[in-house]
Amino acid sequence: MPAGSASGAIDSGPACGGVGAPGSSGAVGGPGRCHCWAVRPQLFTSGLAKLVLEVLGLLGLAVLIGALRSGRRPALGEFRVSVVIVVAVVMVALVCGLAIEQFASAGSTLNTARRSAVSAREGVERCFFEQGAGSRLAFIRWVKRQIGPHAVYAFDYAGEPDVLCVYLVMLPALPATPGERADWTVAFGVIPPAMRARIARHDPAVRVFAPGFALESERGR
Amino acid sequence: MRAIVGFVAFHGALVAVGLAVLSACRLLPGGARSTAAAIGPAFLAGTSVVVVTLIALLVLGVPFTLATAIFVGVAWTVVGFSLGRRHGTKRVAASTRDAQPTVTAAHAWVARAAWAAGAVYVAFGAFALSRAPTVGDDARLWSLKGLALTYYDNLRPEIFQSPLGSVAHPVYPVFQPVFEALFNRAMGQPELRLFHTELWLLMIAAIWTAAYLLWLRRPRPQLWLSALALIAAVPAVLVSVSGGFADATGSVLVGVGALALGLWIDTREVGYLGIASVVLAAAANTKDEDMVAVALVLIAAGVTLALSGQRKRLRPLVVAAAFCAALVAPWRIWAVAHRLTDSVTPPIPRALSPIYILDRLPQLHRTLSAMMTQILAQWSWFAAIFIATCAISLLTRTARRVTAFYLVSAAAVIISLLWLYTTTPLNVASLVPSTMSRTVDIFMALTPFATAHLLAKLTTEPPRPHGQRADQTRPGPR
Repeated sequence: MPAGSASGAIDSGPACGGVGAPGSSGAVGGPGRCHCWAVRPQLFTSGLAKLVLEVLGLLGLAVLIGALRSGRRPALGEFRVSVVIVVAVVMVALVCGLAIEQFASAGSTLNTARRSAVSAREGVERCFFEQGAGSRLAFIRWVKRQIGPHAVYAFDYAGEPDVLCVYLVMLPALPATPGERADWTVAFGVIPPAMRARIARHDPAVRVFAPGFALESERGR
Repeated sequence: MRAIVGFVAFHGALVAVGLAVLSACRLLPGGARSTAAAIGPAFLAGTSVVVVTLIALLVLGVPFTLATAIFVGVAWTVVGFSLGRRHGTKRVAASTRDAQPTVTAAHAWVARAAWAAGAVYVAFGAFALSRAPTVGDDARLWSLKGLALTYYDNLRPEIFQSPLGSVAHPVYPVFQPVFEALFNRAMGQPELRLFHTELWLLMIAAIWTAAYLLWLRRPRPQLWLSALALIAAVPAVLVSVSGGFADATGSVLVGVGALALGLWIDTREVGYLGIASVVLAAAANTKDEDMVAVALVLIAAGVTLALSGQRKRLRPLVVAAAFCAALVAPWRIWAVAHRLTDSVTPPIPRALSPIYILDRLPQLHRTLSAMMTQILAQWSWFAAIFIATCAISLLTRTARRVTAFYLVSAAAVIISLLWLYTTTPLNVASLVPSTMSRTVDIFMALTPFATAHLLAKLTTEPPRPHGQRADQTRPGPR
């Protein structure tokens, strides 16, 4: 089934308006980039009319050249051969013409992608910046150092970015499935009442990174 | 150093497996030149068979490791070359009209210049995408699963059965994540940025495969190759690849598979059907809509043959379809067994009711408008060229059967997408703007492959006089 944008469905990710025409640089690379072309909507009938005109134009040109080439009204068999050859040549010429136009645009698009090169870590963490949550990365990096790889964590979560983005950055640590006992509880944007009480008691199992951001070890509890 | 060795070994191994598959399909003529020409198709075929087999094994509980992948690769290589050896010297024959290439010096220079320009473009694309960030749906759908499979050797329920599943499309098959994880494991570390280059190379391999399949029949250099080359320059395709989406991957796989089927319908060479089944199985394991497209393309081939009085040829087609189904079924059974659902899926059987569809005519109109807009804006003259080529083929009776196959396939895929968008329980007002730009790739990517095939026939074969059957102008079945 058509894939609904996961980022768009979970959060209020970048809107799909305002990006330039196909081939423009706005669609590739850079934080907060849009994943769909913003094309001015038009009625189905006008679009269909344009398509029909394009097809008729191609066929008409082929027939015209075929008639000119034969120099007389050709017999049906001759005319058919002529049309086949001419149409094929016209098609190939069109394809070549399109190729020149398209490759110029494509080169520009690829060049934009080249300019948006990032480091390996930035590449994985880029989804945080898509939603303006770059400032929260420091906490996630700190959490990863604390819990180590292959730990299982649970979330108390609020704000950006969406959870799937956090899952990606947290790997190889895994989120606990429902009913599974987590090794760690991560307060990400909001500290639950129970954890807040432990912080007030200076429980060593809870480490506070910043207001609203803390990590609690569930081991030994 | 490990990464460089891993990169070379990864591609070398997949090419070796692919050469075996091509040999089994009788699509590997002898000689160094032909083998060099088959490197791209071999990479595509090798990737397809290894990844879809790994998906099946993963679902069955076999640990996903490099050792498993090597075992699978070796097994396919042995089977492929054994079948190839059994076939002996039987190969796909070039069309007798083109068996002896006649190439002028000027023609050769133009061809060399075109190949050089193409190679520079491919190299630049590979370099440009090699450090692209992981964003959007790639981060949340594809690379999330790919990275999980890089670190773990099974389908971790924390990721693959996430409670957030309805948004992350857990039902989607895992061709791209498994391919990504295999690549990462071969490289010795996660290489999410470089995987964009890998997707680019896979797409180039798909285009190369199409050119190779056509070249096997018509060795004379042809300008119709430009129709295929255009795919690598379509903005929508480039955005899809650079964004790490699976849309372009699935679409070009469907396109190559349809072309191979078209060549089989056209030539009766069963090798084309073999490679079609391999590539279509990979396509069906890429995305849900690709699976629907694969099913429709296979049905279209069957209908075309049945209506043109070639019912005897339905048997090999059914075998190929069964091969595809066998490689698609494991993931589907696993998804159903784990009660994975997708919020986009239409409510069946209600969605099949004409009354239900009539009630949703505004959604249908919105979808039609968006689809037409995207076709014209992103794919430029592709649709017009395809339709005009088909019209000429039909009018001149040059390749009516295969033209009908391509037209029916494209129409069926379009209708299926219209139905999906019209009947989905999600709000179309938000779904269409965010997805239609990529969804049209499925059938639009098919058009250049079909156009190239039809152009090749139009430029080399004389039209058939009225009353003459297709069988009377072709060699008998092999």
